[in-house]
Amino acid sequence: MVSQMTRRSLVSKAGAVVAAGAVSSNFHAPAILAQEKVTISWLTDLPADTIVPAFHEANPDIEVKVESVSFNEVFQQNQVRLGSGSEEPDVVSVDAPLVASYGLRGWLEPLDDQFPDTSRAEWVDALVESGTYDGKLIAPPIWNSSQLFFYNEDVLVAAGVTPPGPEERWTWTQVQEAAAAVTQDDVFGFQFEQYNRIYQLQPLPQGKGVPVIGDDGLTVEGIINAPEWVEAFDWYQKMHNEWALSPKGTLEIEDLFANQKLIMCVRGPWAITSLSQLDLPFAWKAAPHPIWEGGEIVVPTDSWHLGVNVNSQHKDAAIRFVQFATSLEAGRLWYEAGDSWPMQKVLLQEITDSPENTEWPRLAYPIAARESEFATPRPLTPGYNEYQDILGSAFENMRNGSGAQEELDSAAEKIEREMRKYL
Amino acid sequence: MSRREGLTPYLFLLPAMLLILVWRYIPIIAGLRESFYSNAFSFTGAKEFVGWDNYRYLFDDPTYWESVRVTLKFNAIVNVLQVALSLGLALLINQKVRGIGFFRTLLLLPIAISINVAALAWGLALDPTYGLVNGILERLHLPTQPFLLSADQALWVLIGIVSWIGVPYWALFFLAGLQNIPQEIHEAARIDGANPWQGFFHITFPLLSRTTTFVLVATTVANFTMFAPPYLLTNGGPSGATNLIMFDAWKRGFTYGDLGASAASITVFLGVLIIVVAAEFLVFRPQHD
Amino acid sequence: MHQSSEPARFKLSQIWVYLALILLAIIVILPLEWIFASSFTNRETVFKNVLPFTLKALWPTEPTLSAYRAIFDEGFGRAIVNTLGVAITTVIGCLVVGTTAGFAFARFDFRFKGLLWTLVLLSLMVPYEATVIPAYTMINNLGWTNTWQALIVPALANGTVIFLFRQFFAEIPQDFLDAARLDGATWPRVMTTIVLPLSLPVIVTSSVLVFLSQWNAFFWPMLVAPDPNFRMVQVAVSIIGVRQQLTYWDMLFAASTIAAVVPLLLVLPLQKYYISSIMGSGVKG
Repeated sequence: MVSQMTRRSLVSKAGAVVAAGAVSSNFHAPAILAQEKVTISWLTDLPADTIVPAFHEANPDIEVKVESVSFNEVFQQNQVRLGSGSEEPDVVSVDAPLVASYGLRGWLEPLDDQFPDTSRAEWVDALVESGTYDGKLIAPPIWNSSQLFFYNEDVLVAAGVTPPGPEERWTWTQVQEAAAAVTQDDVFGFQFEQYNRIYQLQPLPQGKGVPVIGDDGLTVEGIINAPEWVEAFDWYQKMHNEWALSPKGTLEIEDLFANQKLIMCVRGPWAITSLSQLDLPFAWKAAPHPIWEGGEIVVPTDSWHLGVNVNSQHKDAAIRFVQFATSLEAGRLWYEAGDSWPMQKVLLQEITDSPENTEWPRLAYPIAARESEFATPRPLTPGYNEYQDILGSAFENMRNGSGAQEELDSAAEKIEREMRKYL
Repeated sequence: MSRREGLTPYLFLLPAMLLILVWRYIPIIAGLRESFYSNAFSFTGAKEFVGWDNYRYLFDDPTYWESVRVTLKFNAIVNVLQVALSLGLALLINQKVRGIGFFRTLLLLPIAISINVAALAWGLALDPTYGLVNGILERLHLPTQPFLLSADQALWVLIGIVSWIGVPYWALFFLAGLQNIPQEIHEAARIDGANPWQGFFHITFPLLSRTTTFVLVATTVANFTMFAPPYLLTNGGPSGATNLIMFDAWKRGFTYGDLGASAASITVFLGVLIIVVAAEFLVFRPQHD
Repeated sequence: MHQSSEPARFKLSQIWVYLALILLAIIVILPLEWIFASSFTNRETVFKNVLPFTLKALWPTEPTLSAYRAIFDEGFGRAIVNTLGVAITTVIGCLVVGTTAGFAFARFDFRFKGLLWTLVLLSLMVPYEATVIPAYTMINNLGWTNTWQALIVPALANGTVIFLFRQFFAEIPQDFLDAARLDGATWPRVMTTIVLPLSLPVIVTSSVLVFLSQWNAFFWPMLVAPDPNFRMVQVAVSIIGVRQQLTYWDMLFAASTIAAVVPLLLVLPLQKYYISSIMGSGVKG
């Protein structure tokens, strides 16, 4: 196939190197064979194979062409393609916090009619919220996430620490003390899986009862450098520096935990599957997400949403696919494949009630399902990329020793400046 | 040439000039144009003419000036360093000792390595907790280093990584230059009683001036536009220590979606680059010739 | 190729030379050797011998090809084939473009020659990173995302190749060509039967340069052709084995090793051509 392309490209080049139309149509057109079939494209980094075949079976007149790229590429491609009014991809993968951004730019087709209130009621509330912009549903959720506190039981017990029970919620102080008991040499006590992303660290400030962004979705001054934020991240900074209980640098949390170099961590429910498959030589368990003493319960909610490109030439087909992807069937397929955490309340209830989930490690699943109750969406702002990126740098600097107040002040200033373009 | 040749040269040149105009010059002009527009958010793709606003915004942004400082610092060091080291390397691998062929091949290896593999390899090797280099340092009872996690060391680490690829590459050019110097000249110098150092400074180096200028200019261009290492390894940090200007422009465009400011930054950059290169040509103009 | 073999020329005492060479060799090879060696292990072993460091990190005790098998299961072979196809096509294209343009600049006089040559030289100075974003927008507007032409056509605008050929052709004695023309040969015939056979070193160098630039291309292909069917090898290297929650380092290293070996096999044996072409291009002293 390569050589055929090569010959073609040489021939067409002889004509005119810039003549786009003639050349591009050879390489770009959908299947010309089945006239009745509509082809829609979906740009994503998710395991599409889990649900696409089932969709094809149920909808033989639609072909879903999956453009499978990496996580970062999804954002970049969306930005450039949608930003230039391209009609592809038809189905857009939208990371939850970017819903506001895409909504503001008018890139997605409103889908209120296709997803009446009854269907939305089946989804976790926080996610419905995340998929809505300006009162319109523009990006229904397809995935959900939860977070759990995983720990190496053997090491904790050996150090004289009583691990938390499956319904027991530790405080961050308890985490810190336990970490201090087990940290030595190259073994660290505790770390977050996404140690420098606001998605993961949100519970720290928000657990103290303060917001993560202004009501206008743009203001951060006075908010991300509020005293509670500084307190929260001062703790985070000390965990990495003064107390040295959390490792620095780029980390593979799964590896570290599996090799017993990291004793406790906060990770998503996918860890239950992957850790079980590793057949580890030590006992590990999970518990609910920690909180501050007297603080609020906040569990980060990451989710992927799907939208329909406002310039798509095949909106109906795209909508049908999105409806399928949000259905109970798709949710079940993904969950059973171990790909994702379901966003349908029915499925979450099934997980909690299932008789298969009464023993470790499967006992962790109902814990995660119950944590979904405390799901908190990420800040809704058109400037989420900027917000995340700048805060991410601030967190990295703190991990390397920079003071929390100073970094948060600086981040607030930078984010404010970037947000101005949305005013 | 006779008139019959009239159209032939142009036909011969057509593909090349067409390609260069379309794929090198039009993007520059498009970028320049883009810098005067801003993405309006009411419709998809619609833009608003904002004149110099993007430039004003950029010049008001302390992060932009930070990237300027970092880039200047980076280049002030790395270009001179690379020219000097590659000349030194060329001299070294031009020595007549046994096995020099083997070493020459070995030391030129980095040329074949792509920037992303180099960044991966060195990024991992220099990881403060799990990296090879700190592992060795510890074995030798030397203090381990934070490398890319330290605002002080990070830029130097980048300088090291890009030089790892760059020095052998430019050394190849110097090697060609050295091997082009006729034996007689060296013979004459030796007969005149010059010692090797004098021979180098008064004979070899001046004869290499054209190569030196070429390498200096080429390495300047390559290093000013350095983008991959911050992108792959540091995200501009820690604390902006590696926020090189092309990376900063990229971030504005792709992460923050501000194509206008990104284009403005690149336009200014191109202007400055042309001035710097022109200055290098003037100052380091080959002596003879 | 001239050899400076004068003993009294800048010669350092042997011991220092060897020391320097060995030290440099270590610095140069260290990370490469680690990646190479680690590619023959599996994921768990990769970091095991790094901290505390033992020499086992640089030489695997139980080599296995599992990583290599795994990457081909994940489409790495496809990426290699794609890149070879793109690279070879680009080489042919650049040779055609470069020889014709280089010949025109070297052997003809015509109006605008100076201007056009300046445009070519200036284009060499414009770094491609500066044009990436607008060029990407152009690709997008042309509908060329995830197509072969997006990977090949912009790469044909290669001023370096034009420069090398122009320098080379400028050195061919005029009588040579005049004689052929007197015999009635047209310019194209002169080009193909006389000039091209002579220019082997430049052809080899240009081909290697262009091939390498496509083989090592990372950023552009990542932007314009991320789809797995069009994936280029360096992009594949950067994402192979990378899963959401962890990375299969052994696979990454195996892919990196292969990605690095191909240019090595090309560049090192052909060093001499490289050097002689650079010499012929007037860049030397």
